[in-house]
Amino acid sequence: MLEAIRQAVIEGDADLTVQLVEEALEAGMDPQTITDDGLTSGLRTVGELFDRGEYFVPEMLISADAMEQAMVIIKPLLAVGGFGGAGTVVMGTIKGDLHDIGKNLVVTLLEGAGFNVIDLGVDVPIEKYIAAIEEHDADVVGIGALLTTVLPAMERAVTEIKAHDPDVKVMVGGAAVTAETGDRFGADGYASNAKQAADLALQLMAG
Amino acid sequence: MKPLVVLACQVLEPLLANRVDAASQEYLGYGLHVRPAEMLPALQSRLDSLTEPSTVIIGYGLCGNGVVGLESGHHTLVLPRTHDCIGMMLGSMAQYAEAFAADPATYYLTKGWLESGDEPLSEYRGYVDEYGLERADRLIDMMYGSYRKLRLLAFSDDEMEWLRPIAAPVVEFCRDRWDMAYDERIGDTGLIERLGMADTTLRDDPDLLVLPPGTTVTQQMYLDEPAAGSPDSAHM
Repeated sequence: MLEAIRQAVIEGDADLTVQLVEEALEAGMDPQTITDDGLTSGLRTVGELFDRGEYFVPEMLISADAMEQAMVIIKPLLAVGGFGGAGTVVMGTIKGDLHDIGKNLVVTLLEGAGFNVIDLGVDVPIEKYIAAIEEHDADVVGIGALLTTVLPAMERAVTEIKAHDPDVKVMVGGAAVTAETGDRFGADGYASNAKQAADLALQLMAG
Repeated sequence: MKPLVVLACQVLEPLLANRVDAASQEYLGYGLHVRPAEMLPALQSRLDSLTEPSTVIIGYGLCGNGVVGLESGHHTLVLPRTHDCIGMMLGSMAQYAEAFAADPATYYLTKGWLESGDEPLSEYRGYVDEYGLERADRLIDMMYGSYRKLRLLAFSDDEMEWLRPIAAPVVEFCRDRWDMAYDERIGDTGLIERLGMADTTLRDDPDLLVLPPGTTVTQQMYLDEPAAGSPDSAHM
């Protein structure tokens, strides 16, 4: 059953994914297991196919969409067992950057990993990150950028968030960012793709 | 005098090719734009294959970090210090920064990108063929739904007149679908002209990087503000 869910996500068949998840739940399967070993595992495989150049952006989006539709059913059930238990992450693309495909993938995988995600969307000014971190008592903030044009704004955001709240972990990512950029900006971590971002958030929580 | 070589994106060919007097010119396919990871190996292998120390015009911007890590080897490189070809076509990093700050959600249409089919309407048609109508609708909205304005870029009024009808179906598609505004802008070939001169003695042009042999391109070179009074430091 879990393998079938995984395959449905990899194939990007949203209707089948939702149907299989419903069947699995009716059969009494644990929602977190369905998420981890079915949905997330499938989307991670899609990420690997993308990295290898076998999948392109559209295929990845179709698969992410399938997982998101299934997550709508799963999330309330996870909540019963402590959804968001992994921590709270504030996510958004930095001011000036409206490209949210990568950011949305990260949000989906973070939710799959058990995080409560506050998604601020695109074009997020620094004050908005800081306000959301305070309001939701966030553990991690993720700042994304596709365009290198906005990197100076990202650097300012990292600096100001760190100055305002030294305890919050700042992770950066997106095509504009390299590991060297992340270091230079003083971020706590950098991820080159969505699954690395979800793993990074878990690592940052661990210490 | 070292031989002059051009290695540039196809999108620059009509703007650069007849402005330079080069021993050789090669224009690489549009595809590297969407696959920046392939840009560095494509450029590096061509640089490395030039046995004679040369002055090489690299007709690429930072382009999603596609040029980061490029090693000049025994050559001298001249690069436009812009984030991408839109910056080059607007004439400077500063012009682009100004336009970007005013309207970050602007999608630029140029002759090159219209011809190569790298625009929302062609992409949408491709998705419909490949993934069916329903998925194509969702995909195209995810890819372009955040843009608020479409801007047609040409280099003269005549070219604008000529391009306008070619761009019209794209403009109509984006307006109907996402209510995108539309405007037109005449570009500035000044930077491309200076690039074509490949004057390696230039040290005070904030829009060009002149990299001597043994230098590696870094992202930082594109992010630094040119330092007042010591323009060299911004370049090296």
